[in-house]
Amino acid sequence: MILKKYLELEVLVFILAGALVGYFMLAHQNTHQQTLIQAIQTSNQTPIQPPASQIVGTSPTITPLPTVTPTQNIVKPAKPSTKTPVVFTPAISTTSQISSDGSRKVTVDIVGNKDGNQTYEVLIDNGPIIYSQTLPSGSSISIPYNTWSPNNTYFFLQENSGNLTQIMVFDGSGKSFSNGNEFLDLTGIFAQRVTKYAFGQATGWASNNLIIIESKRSDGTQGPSYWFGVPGESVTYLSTQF
Amino acid sequence: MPKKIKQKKALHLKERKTAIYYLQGYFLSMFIAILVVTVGGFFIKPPVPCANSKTCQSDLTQHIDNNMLGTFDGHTIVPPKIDLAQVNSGISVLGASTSAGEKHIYVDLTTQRLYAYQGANLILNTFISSGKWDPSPVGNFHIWEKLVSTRMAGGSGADAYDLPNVPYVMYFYQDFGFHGAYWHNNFGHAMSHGCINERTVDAKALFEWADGPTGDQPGTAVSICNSFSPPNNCVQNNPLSS
Repeated sequence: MILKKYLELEVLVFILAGALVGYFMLAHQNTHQQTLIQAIQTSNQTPIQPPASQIVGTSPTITPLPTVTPTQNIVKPAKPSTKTPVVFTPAISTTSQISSDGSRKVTVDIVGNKDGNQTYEVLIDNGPIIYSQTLPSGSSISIPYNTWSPNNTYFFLQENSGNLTQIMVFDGSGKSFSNGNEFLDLTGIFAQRVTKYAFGQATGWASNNLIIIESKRSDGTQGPSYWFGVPGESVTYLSTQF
Repeated sequence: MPKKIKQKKALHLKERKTAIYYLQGYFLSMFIAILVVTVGGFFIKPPVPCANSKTCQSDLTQHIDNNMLGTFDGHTIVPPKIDLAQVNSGISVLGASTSAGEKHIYVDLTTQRLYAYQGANLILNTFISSGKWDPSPVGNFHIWEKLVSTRMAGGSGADAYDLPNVPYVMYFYQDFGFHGAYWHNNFGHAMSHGCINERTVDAKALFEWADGPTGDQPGTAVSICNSFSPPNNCVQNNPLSS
């Protein structure tokens, strides 16, 4: 009698276990197959085939977008003269990047020096030079695509020297920060605060004053992400990897 | 003595019965699980996905809230003010000098780039931010609605967001659409709840160039691709509408 009761209880357990497994399988299936059901719900949307006009051998021509400011290279070569001694005319090239809304622009003029070094001059909105630095050949300053903060209050530049990267964060007004520094040394501050991981890259702005930092592990793989707060110089660990 | 033998036999029989019984129980559980999946599939439907879980349930119409503050990622955002008189200039800067042809927008989710074609001409090629917290829908669609501005809200807890004056919105699948993003500047990296974020300058240019539905004519074709090779090689894994 007791055995029979046990067996009946076990049958119930088996049924419950089966029902539970089935339920979880169904839930899992629903999560992963939402797309298929959506397809049925949107059956009024007909599939699009690429137009025949695009399946031709000719490569498309690119019409530049007027609102996007691409890198411009204005090279003024030196003009050698046979009559007078050679006068060194520095080559100037210019790169610039607009803000997300197109209202602000940061420009870096690169001036070639006689000694082979290059001077990088930073300007905002075609105004006066707010920062200048001379770097040896092989080093450079570049403007990241996502340089401007969303509200155009700050921007950052990237200095590349061999394998080393330095991120410099500037005030968009062109003025120094309250501590008197021309820029915030993001990479230097990050290295002081985070010792377990190395700086990887600064991808852009998560909000008006937070720069997203990707760290990297010693084996080169991506580590956790961080926020760098401007101007407070805070470094915040993120549970979400960007 | 016979009683002891009888008891031993009974015990042995019980063990044998138990082993068979558990095997039967296993199959019974599996049967119930399959039954629940099969039958449950008819009654339990997955919820219709939304890019913006709050506003997609309420309405997807034009909204201009110039005095409202926004929230994103735990931060208060001051949205840009929208002046309809200024927005409705009717001037399209993209493709003005190119020949006519079918318009098609491709999004490459791997490289986080957008390509807009008119015929064989590449009109715009820029970085975007696709779904990070929720995936962007892969498939072939048409723009079904164009809104100069709307409010988008969704998420919960720390991920809750409420963003008024989201500019230059073009829905292509339910409430998934292209739009400008003024709250972050991290383009080229996934950063949205499923929509395709663009810089405001790019969103404006694309908005003025692309077509919404008119009469029997569908809006501009949109292909969201897992990867894309110009001019029209769009690779889609489990697309929604094909």
